[in-house]
Amino acid sequence: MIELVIVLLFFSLSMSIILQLFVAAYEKKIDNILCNTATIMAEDILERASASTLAIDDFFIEEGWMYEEGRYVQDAEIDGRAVRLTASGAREATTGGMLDNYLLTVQYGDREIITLPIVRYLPDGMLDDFLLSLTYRDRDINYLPIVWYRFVEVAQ
Amino acid sequence: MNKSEYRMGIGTSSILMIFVVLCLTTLGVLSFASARNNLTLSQKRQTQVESYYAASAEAERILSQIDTILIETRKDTGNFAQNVYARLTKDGRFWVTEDLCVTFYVEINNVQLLQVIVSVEEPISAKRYTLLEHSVIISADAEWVPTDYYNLPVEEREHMQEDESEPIILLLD
Repeated sequence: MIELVIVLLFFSLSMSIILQLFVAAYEKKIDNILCNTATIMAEDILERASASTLAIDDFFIEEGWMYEEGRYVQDAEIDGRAVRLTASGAREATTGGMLDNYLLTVQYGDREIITLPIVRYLPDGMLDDFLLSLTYRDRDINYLPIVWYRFVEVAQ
Repeated sequence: MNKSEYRMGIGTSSILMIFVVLCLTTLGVLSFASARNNLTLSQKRQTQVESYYAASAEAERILSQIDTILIETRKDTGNFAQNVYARLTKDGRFWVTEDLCVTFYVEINNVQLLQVIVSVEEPISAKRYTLLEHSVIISADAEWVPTDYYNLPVEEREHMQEDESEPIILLLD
């Protein structure tokens, strides 16, 4: 009888450890999905904001972001999990034009997944050239197929 | 009459359970290793993306500084090209060619640089500069390239590149 109890305890312990292993693997997988998707999401927003002919503030308003406590906020979902996108910053006037200086963050709960800077310089009276310059930037980001067509679309 | 009966003892079921536990452990370890590797790869990509956009943001700030310098230079008297050259090469951050192409570099990581080339327009033009290139280049040497390197004449830089101890920049186009 004692042997049977020992065997049962051994298998119970084994199964609980195996279960923990599968749970840990699942959590890693979720982290991976969040990391990947948040990165693509942030890149997509950043490139669209940079390529927009609108001021960054107007871009976020047009995209349906809410203005709360001095920052733009939008709720989104990644694989059924709620994430929050926030953007804060301002447009600075320089001697030669405008410098948009914003920070875009994707948050899952209290955890910041990714933060990217949205910085673009718009020289006075050089908007056409700015849009033309975007075609040069395309060459750097040809590893981002999602934003590629949007870039070309805006540049055209 | 003797009947021979086959009875599965406790030992057989234990062995079967041990086999099942071993199989599940193997599967668990494999799935954990796979998930961990995927996460590491994603984190590396995320770091790369963050570095690239940080460099790109810095490049935009530098462009605004160049534009400010160009506005000030347009107010100067004397030869415009010489004034531009003098002002832009003063702090050693920019490499300016004779035809007023300004090149500067922003570090992305220890092996990549963001190269930006702008062409300075004549004062009669409404445009002050034209962006010619905004590309990622790879330094064959992992060390950061000294700022003064890009301000040397072309002949000297080519001479330096023959020496293996000096950094060699490969332009990916």
